[in-house]
Amino acid sequence: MSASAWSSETGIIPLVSRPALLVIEDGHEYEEFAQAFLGERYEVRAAHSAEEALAALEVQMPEALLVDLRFERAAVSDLIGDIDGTARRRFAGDTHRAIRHLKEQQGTLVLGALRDAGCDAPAVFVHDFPPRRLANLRRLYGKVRAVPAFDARAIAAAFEEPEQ
Amino acid sequence: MRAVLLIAVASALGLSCTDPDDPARDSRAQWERAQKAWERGEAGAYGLWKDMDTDTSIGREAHRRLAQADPFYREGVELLREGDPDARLALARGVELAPMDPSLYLPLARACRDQGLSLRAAEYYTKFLTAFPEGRRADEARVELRRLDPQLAGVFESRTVLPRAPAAPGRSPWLLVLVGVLLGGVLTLTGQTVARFFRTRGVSLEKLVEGSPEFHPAIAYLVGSLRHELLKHRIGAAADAIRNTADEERLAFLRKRLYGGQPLVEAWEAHLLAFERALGHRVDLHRDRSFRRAGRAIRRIARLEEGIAGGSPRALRELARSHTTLMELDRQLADLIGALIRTLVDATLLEEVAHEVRSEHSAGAVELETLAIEAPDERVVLDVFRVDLVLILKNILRNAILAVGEDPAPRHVRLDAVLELEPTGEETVRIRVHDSSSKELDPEILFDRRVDRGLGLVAAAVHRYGGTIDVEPAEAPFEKRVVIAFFRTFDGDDV
Amino acid sequence: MSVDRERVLHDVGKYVARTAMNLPEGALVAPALAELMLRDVYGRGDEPRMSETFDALVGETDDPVLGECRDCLQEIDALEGDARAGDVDALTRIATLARSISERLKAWARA
Repeated sequence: MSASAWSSETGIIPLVSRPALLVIEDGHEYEEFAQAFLGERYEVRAAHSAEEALAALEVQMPEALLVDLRFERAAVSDLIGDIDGTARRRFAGDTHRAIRHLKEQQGTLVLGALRDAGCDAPAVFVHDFPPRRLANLRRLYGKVRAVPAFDARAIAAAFEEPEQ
Repeated sequence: MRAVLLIAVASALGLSCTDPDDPARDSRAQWERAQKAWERGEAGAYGLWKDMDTDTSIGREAHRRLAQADPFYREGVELLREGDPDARLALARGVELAPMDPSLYLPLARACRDQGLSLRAAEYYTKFLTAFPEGRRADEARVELRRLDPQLAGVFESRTVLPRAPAAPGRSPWLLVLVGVLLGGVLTLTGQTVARFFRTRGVSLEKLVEGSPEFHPAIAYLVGSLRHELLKHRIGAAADAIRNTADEERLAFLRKRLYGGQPLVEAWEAHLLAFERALGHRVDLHRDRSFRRAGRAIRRIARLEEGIAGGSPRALRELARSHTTLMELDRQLADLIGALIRTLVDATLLEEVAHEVRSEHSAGAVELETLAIEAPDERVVLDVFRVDLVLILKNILRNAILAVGEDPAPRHVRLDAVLELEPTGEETVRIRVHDSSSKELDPEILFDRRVDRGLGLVAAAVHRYGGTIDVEPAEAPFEKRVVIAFFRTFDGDDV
Repeated sequence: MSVDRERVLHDVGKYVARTAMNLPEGALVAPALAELMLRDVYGRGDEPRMSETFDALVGETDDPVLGECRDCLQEIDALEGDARAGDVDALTRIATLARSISERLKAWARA
């Protein structure tokens, strides 16, 4: 279902020109949510891996990023991050645990790849990060916000939040 | 005092009023002795239970409980050997029922050793040797205990491998029996007095936590069980119903939670007994005001059953007050436990490790040009029991100092901790032991779990907490460093 | 069975109310949003429904909060026929239950 169809059914007339919101996730939940509740403000597009997200930048630089943290359903070949290095450094050589860790934290790594590619759009995670962890993500990747639940108003406000 | 002594001696000699033809009374007395021996953690408790006469109902009960407990103990040992955290649960189930078969002390000691629980392992080796001082398995246990930690072996061996006094020849056996019995009576009395003395001088739980980090894992388990099984599932679950008592459905739920299953007072006392069994005289929960108040609250709730069944407003108000008291204890315990596994990686910790290792005979004899210590300059916390972290670091530091001791001077060792920011926003805490020894440390040695070589046991302990251990080259004047790494715990105070 | 809190909070607590928490309380649920909400609780295609995800993560439990969440999920499952037929009361009830599960799990994780 397209963004305009959602909008007409909920009785909201879509704006003519809306900023681009790139949703990055391993499934469809974030995209569906964004289409339903943020579609009137943003032109929603979706990517399901770092590769797809980087390709999306080539088409149009997004003005907002909605990023899933955990990519548990992603294929190992779609993951970014150093599996062997992570296994050696952090998991006593256990590759399975390293892969699980990279899946669980994949969103942050994809964001890192987007920043390296020149995208500095504000990024929102739907996750309840400890304050120190969020501060670290901001040190690493600039405009990073976190909202603990799929609360459309809070997420929209987070995109507008001034830089800290 | 003399009268008491005479009574004790008479009792020991069997001169009390016991009717020799009353097997029920005998078995009751025997059962009380067996129970007491178990409560005091005495090594002979299992034997006393096993000796209970199966022709009496108490004896049959004792044997039934022994038989029930045994598979739990065996399962616990097996799970522990595999590093399965459910081991504690299985062992605790056994402890709830009956004493452990002493022949299991050896496999339990080995399982503890393999999981890096050196202190616990030494304790069980000792118990095994106390129960079985002779034979091939005892010899093996002695060797393994010595290998485990020379210091610990020193402490325990002196107690366990006492030379036996040769039998005095030419004395009358009756005289020996009489002297033995008299001595037994005096020892029993003295033992009871000493035990009572120690029991009454136990400290509060909070004080024990402060002063005895070696008990943190056990305390965490005991408090966790009390909170989970009683305070959360039975008392805490009643919160909604207490607030909305007008609702009949909720009232029924309340009655089921509070008065269904094991009686509340019995459940409460079983938890207190579990503390006493695990921690012995070291703790006296009666010294804790919160525990005293909670005990009274539990008893009050137990008395309210009828009133609550009838929906009496007075009973419900009383229940609400008692509920608040118990939830207060729950919060206090949550704070206590929350902090238990959290270990601050600071100068105090690193200095304590260095001081303890340097106090050891062999590691203390090595002359060092430098033993540098550097802690992080910010508050760093790990989710590792302090006692375990200290044990891990002591092992690594001891290895490093003994290794440099084999080289000529100058000898340098350094213990430090650094933070690394990960691309995921997480942080890794790397605690490093650098040394100037020219002896190569093959990383394979980290996975060798034989106790007489390598750091395999240390590695197992590190892995248990989700950490890693590695060897890497180090900058001059050092040759290499052993690094243990854990994810930093973000505990809210460290933005 | 020890429960992986983070997974329960993420896989159930976060997603069960993805739609429900954004619906105005008491108002009619628009058909498109109703469809989305039903996907949250009943899954899409061959995906497991939320009650199955919950059972797989929690298993047998005597935890009262988890027990209450399971009751809510069972009630949601029982409402499926009516909800798919567009029954307004069923949809409103599902939204309420989904929000309640999410809130309960948040409180459970903090405890």
